[in-house]
Amino acid sequence: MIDKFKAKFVEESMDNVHDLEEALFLLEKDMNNKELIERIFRAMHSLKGGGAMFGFNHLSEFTHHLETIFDWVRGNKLAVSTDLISLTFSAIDHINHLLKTGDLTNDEEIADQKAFIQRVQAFLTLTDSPAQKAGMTSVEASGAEAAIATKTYLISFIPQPELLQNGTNPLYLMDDIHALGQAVSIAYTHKVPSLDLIDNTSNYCIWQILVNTAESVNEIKDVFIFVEDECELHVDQIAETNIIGKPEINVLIEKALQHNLLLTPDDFKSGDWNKVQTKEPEEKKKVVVKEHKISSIRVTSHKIDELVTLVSELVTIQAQLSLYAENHDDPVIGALTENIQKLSRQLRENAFDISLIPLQSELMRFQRLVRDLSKEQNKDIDFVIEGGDLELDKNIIENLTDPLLHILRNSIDHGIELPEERIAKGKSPKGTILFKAFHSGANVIVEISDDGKGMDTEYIRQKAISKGIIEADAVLNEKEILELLFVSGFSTRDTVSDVSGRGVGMDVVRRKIANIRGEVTIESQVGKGTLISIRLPLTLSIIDGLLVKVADNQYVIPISSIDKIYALDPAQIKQSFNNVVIIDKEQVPFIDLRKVFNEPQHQTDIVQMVMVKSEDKKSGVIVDNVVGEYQTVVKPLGRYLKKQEIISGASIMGDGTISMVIDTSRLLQSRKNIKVTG
Amino acid sequence: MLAEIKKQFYETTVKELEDINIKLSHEEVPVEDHPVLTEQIFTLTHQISGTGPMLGFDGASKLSRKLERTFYDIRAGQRNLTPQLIWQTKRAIEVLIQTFVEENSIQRQ
Amino acid sequence: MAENFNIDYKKNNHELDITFTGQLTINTIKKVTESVKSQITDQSVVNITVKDVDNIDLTFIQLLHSIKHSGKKKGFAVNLSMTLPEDLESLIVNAGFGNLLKQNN
Repeated sequence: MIDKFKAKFVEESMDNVHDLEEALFLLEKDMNNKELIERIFRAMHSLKGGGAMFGFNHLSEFTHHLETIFDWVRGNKLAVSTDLISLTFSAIDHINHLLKTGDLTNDEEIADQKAFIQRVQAFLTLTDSPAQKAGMTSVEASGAEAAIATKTYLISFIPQPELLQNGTNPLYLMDDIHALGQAVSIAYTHKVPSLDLIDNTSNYCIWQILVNTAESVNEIKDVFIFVEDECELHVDQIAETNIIGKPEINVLIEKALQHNLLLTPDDFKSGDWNKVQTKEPEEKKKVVVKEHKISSIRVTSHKIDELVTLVSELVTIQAQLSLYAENHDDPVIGALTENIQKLSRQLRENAFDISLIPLQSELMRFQRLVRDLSKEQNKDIDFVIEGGDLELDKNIIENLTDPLLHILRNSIDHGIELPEERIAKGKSPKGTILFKAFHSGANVIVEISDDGKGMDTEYIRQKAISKGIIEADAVLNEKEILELLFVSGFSTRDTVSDVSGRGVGMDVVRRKIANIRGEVTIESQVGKGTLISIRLPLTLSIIDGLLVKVADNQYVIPISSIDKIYALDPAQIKQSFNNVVIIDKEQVPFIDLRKVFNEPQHQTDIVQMVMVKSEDKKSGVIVDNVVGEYQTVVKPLGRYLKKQEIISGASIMGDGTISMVIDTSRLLQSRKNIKVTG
Repeated sequence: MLAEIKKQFYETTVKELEDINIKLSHEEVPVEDHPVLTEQIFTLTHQISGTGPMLGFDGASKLSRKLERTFYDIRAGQRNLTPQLIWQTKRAIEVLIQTFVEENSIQRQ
Repeated sequence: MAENFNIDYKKNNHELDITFTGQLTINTIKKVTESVKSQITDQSVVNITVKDVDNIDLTFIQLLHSIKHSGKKKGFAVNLSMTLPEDLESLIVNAGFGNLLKQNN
């Protein structure tokens, strides 16, 4: 868990550093820009905090000193100079280095950092009377003395009628503004209708607030952060000083309320409180943010998720429309439907394409892991990657990383032998781990194979017996023995190694892969090596499913796992022994979904049995009736509902009802005694 | 089946929201705790926005989506978790809990 | 949820006295409004007293404005006297509705 946070911290810090660099460039052009200084200070601050938390101690120590510097700058105790900017630039390089490598181990580097810190500290001691030294004018210095200089802002908060419907209490927002400094609220109530027309839960009010505060515009806007969708919000600075309570201002407010006319920033321009400050705007150099040529844009992933969801829903509706058109035999609707179908297919492909990211993005981490671990264990390993440019749904990749890391750890830890051991076995001293990703039909296969010592099935068998997982006299074939690795509580290692065995076991690997509708299998040969193969769907959000009915509910069974469908007499089920029916002279085990979902027994004349297969298991699934084939959108149930083992997600039908998507492999696993037939 | 899922979801979610609310109630939330807290709020609200609508918690989902979006930005370093934001978050979480309780009682009627 | 609000009406001649107490929030506002609507008919003066308030929010403030608005439209006078606990008073004042507390017109 902490590793995941750590990686995320590094990733985020890299962005932070990038931002820092940009702010610094801008600061060089506009050395008094408070907002930039604050930005730099905050970046240093979060690097320090995060660094300490995630074990980047050198980084934390280093940024601590820089944070102090910018804290001084922020408090007007130190002025920005070209020297300071240069120093900070080289500090950024050093931070980058620390983020990439973690804590320093090399004595020379540690000494370098010490020297650097001394240079930073020198800045603090050299500048005892900073204002004069940095050549600030006396006017600026006196302004700087009053570090708590406040400004007056005009906030216009124009909510929509729906404001109150999500539990928002606008009175609190006004109260929060008052907490920022001296403030006066102007509430416009002229839009409140008379009793016969009022809708109690709508908002009819508009507010304007004058606030005098030292906080920034962003800080003010933060107050309204969770209502920003339901309102129009403007925050304008109207004076450099506190003008609240001045008679002219009260007159302005009075007038505004009388005429129900909102104040504008221009209304405050004429006041003499601005005359003193007239020089100010000219002094300020305009900072032009550099223009980027944009060839790609960064979009937050939830926007993409939303796009995919919407498109998926469109696909569902379109499927229903097609069904309707088929049933009604109207040529016009038929033609239109066909066009919509074509378009929505294209749209769907496009949207999915956007949500795919190359596996490559995670491969760096795997490479690092192999490199670091093999060094640590004195193993010589060649890590070969094939198909790294393959693209997968980002949700799949996110969920795949941990299991893959674990499998790789296993390979390095237990698989690949030490060089001398390999030479003794007549192998090349250098071991190889092959990471291979490729398409196979509607699936993607990821294979991790090593040429290590392989798995000793007899050892695994004995272990399973000693752990009470199987009976001592159980007859299992090789494949079944390897399957034992996935049983929870099974670990082939006697001691917990630092490398693997600490985190997730293979049972967790399988479970995690199953969460993204994937399957894991192991093949292994003693002395030759191990191959772990993961079969994954291309996308998580749409599946071809068979809609079935059980009692009053509808369920979806993924088409990919369906073999055949039979009609049965319910009597056959009642008479059956050990949940097995005879079909085509063959014994077929079955699972009755009515039983599984605790529904009352069948009243109908006929039921249907859907034959499903998963890996090497096969079973009939009894349902009331099959509704039809549906392309459906799967929404994950999320972690709270994980206890619902046999449900992998839910799907919203065109009419708004919900169908649960059945996880066939879990359904089959839930009946362990089902053996291979046919 | 669905009622059971709903109950489970409702109970765990409200419990976790309350847990967050307690953390936010401290006089000052230490900066070291921000990343974990941010992550916790993000994942939980992401969960609510995703699953809530399916189980009839529409109002709650709407509000949680806003929190989710904000904390996504914080997580990405595009926004700072300021004291003001912590305060507003606390308010939003309280409303969220209340909305959950209300929507749950409406559904039971 | 317990309905802990109360409205008292007293009619004499052409005057209507209304006293609101308790929870005056969005949760109760529908019932409060319906009740008020049914009582305000053909008076020439409506005296409103708001006291012993447990909680108050914008919906109730809007209701007060709505009654005044109706008064202007239909030609009855509205007098208001509102006393609130300290914390609610500051909330109302900070939101720009302080005039409701002072006025007696």
